[in-house]
Amino acid sequence: MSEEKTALRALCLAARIILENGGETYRVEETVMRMARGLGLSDAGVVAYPTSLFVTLGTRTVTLRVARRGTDLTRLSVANDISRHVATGCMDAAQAERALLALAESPGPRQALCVVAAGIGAAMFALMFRGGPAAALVALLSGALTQAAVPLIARLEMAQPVTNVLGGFLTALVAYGINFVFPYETPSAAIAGGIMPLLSGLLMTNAVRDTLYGDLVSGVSRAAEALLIAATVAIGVFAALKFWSFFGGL
Amino acid sequence: MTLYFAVSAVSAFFGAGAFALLFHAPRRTIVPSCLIAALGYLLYVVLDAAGNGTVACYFLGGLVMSALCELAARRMKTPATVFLTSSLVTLVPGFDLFQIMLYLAQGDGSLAASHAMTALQGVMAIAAATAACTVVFRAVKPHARHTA
Repeated sequence: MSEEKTALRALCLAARIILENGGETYRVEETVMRMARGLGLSDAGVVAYPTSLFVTLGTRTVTLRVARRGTDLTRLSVANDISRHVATGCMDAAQAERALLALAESPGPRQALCVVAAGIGAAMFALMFRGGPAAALVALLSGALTQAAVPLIARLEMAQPVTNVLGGFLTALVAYGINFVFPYETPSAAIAGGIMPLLSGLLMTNAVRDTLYGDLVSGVSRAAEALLIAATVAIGVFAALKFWSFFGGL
Repeated sequence: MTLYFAVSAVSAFFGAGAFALLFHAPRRTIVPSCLIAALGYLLYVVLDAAGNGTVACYFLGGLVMSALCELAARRMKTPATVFLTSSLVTLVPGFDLFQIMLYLAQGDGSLAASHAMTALQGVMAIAAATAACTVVFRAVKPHARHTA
């Protein structure tokens, strides 16, 4: 009985780590079933949605609410490795649980690194959007500023939408503000590049992909999340554009 | 034009690298993701400059990136998502999202709607390309879904 509880905890932990860190729902379900087979558990079952998990083992069912969703590809990759070790019999349930607990507690990327990466990413996108070096510099500044503000905003309720609105606002405000004082070409490329780190990459693409695979609930909820993110960033940009058009700077 | 292609490829390389760091990608996957992004984005801009339609450019760029990501995933025994997340982000039509807001702020709804349609076409084309690629790779190696 104790072994079954340990196995169930390990399965839930693996599922939660993958779902919280950018894994698809089908990956969560496959990982749990693969681990269960490796542990010799034939009566396991799992259903995963982007915001919740249901893992069953025998007569026990665990329901988990997944409130935090982000992207940490190292955690995703290591959780996948651990599940493979379990599947091939190189790890038992207790070892897997310990490894997964350590993984869940492992630190994410350093904030200083994220600030630099967001700035460089924004600058590179400004260049890709046919902006000049000045637009890239402005995008670097606005991308880094927005990322630096994230830990402060994260303490608030509804941190994600607030981050997006403020990020979009700050990006467009800085880009047109600098253009107001020191005119440069293509401030639009600076803004478009600056908002890229906010857009959460492939959410909409994954939503369409989930839907094509028949994971309709997952597809629709991811599409809703992607639209919410795009809409909140857009509200921020729109507000700043309106601000500058009021002053005749647009 | 050659300079534009070179700038695009180099920007995509470092842009993907920056996003890989932001998404805390495993170190060994960062350079392959950057190379995949640079190649796929270069194909996208070349096709675009040759006058191909939006859907064809996004689809073919996405298809090449997805195929390379699947190959890298199998070679490095890492989920393909790790490569896809860092490299495909270079094709996300963020500029169209900004254009939508700009034209809405200027009160030009029809141009905003036109850019919204372009962005939607781009996203659908990328999604279709990744899905098609995954289907083909799994058909070739049925048990590969574990690493896909």
